[in-house]
Amino acid sequence: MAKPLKVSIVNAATVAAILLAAGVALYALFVLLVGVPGIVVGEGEVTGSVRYFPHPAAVVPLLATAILLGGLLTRKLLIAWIGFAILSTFSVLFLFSIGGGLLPMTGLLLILLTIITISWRNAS
Amino acid sequence: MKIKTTSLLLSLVLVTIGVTPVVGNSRSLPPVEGPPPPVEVNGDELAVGDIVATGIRGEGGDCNIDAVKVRTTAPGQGKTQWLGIVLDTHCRVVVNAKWEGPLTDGPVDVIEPLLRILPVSPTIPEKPQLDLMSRGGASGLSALACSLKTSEQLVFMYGYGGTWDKLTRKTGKLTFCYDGVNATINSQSGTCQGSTPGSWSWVVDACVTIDVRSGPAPIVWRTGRGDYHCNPPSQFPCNIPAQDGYYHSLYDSEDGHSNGTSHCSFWWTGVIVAGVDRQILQGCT
Repeated sequence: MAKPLKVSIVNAATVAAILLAAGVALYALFVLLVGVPGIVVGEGEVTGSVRYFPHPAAVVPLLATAILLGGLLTRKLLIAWIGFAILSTFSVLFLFSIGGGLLPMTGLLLILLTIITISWRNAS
Repeated sequence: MKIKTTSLLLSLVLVTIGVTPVVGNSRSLPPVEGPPPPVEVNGDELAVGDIVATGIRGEGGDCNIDAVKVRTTAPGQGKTQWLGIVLDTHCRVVVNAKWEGPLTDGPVDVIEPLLRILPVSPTIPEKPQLDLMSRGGASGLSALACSLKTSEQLVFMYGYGGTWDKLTRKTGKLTFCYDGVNATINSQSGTCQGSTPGSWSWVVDACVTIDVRSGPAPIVWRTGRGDYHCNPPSQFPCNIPAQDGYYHSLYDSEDGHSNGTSHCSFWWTGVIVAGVDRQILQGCT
């Protein structure tokens, strides 16, 4: 593969990973401050009302993406991978609540981080 | 019928809640047998200083008065009206105070004699406790003798993230009044909550109160149940267990005892993810 093409792919992967991580961070911030929607039904009632319940555990993906972004922006892959490991663990553990929604993004981040890691190693 | 009193000072407070037909100054014809019905007086038309009835002084200095029934209507929804009535030295039953709102807003010289004649050692309740008096026709006097306590808990099913990973929730709240002999439910409620964290959701199928013992009784309680499932049941992650959909029920139960103690319990049935736990929000001790 030509070198300029490789560089372009790595750059594109890095930008995509940064944007994706930022998206996850925004989602985590939303869930932390606003919450996840849920129907609340009173006893004896047939219909309920939608309310948002802040999810304190969202602080974990927020911190994880901050670490991941820090690693990507400073080109320190180990730090980025640590952030990713925390994020993916959270996604699996919290699969039935907010973690399940993060799983597809975690999968994409895994692909992008792999591409970036291989490219940087080859370049060095 | 005659009322014989040896005390020159008699304080009566009569509270009527809600829209009660007011009986005016009408007098009924005495029945052939038995004592005549008491004269009913419309308390709404009374003002401080009005004479409700006049008695006759007996030989021993006692004051004999025809039975009098004073009725008042609540000035509005949830409001309370009080009348202070005193027997003066001239053997007359006189209105000495009239006010709206909590008992504690009334004149001290009217309230204190009333509190002294209560059967149990009374404490003037804090203003929130005076909500008791707005319950359908409950006597203000009996409400004074009891204290309020609220117990509330949150029961929840959690996922593999532990108790931070709440998926379905059930709350139950019991407020009861206790006086050392009996407890009575003042109010009780419960809610059920699902969530929609992604393309799937935790659905509330039903939310019901399955048992209530209102009292008065030595122990009162309430029990609620919430039914839930993961939807759509056949799709990931709802189809992870062998039995699709994680159909389950959460139960909460709160009780109140005549001595003021309260216990909260919970249990569940059906298929759950990782576990069920609860948080005590208040009371439950």
